[in-house]
Amino acid sequence: MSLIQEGGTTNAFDISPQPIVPGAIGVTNKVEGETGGRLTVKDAQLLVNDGANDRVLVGQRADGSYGIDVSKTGFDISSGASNLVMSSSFNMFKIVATGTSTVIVTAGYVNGDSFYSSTINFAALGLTASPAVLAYFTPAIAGYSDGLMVPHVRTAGTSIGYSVRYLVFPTTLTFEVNMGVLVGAQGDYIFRYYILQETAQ
Amino acid sequence: MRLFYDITGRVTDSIDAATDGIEQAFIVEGAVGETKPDRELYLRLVDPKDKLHPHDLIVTNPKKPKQK
Repeated sequence: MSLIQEGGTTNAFDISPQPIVPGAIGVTNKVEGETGGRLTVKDAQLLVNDGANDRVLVGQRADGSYGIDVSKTGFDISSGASNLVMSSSFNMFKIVATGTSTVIVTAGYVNGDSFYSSTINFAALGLTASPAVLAYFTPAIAGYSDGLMVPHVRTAGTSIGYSVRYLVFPTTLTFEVNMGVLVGAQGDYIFRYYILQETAQ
Repeated sequence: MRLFYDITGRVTDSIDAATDGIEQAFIVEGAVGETKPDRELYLRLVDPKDKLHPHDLIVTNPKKPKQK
């Protein structure tokens, strides 16, 4: 591996890979004056430069925080949050868990009957507020093989055929199918869900 | 991934979490028992191009519910 000291002269030298310790002099894979993309490792920071701008940062930022930033084409990672296409400092949803569940609607139901999935209990996560949930389902109706978003209301003329929703609390999640006037809709309603949680910083 | 089944052995619920710790925090109330898919099956279940769904699975010799 050929590396030189960042900002140094042309004293290119070969070194063996070794741990980068805080305070170490940065190294890069380009000799001085050489153009094109380069990778630089300095202290606790790894930078990828596209030949004009620092586009990717992994490690310690200028403000001392740690994370991963990626900037838009043509912009440097130091040019402000609005010019970043992603950053681990952004507050975004993370999929904490994904799962499936079933609601079995039995024959003989009447308008107003509700059917429920198993209760999915995640009290051990210690959440103090209900998590965001994204869910869709496949109903037990011939011709449906694709997912429908939850909540969902199917109409039958001017009445409700059936409706579907989820009930989410800080410790549990349950799916409900409430039957309306639609007949012959018994069977398995199969759900897929994503439990999302904000992950700032 | 954990697969939860009913008295007949049919898989009715599944959970696949970001970490093993989170995954173990989940309890499916009402499930008779649970099992874990082997790696080959797991890769099929999480492959969006594979039509196999957890609820297509039947567990052989499911546990019986505890007698009160």
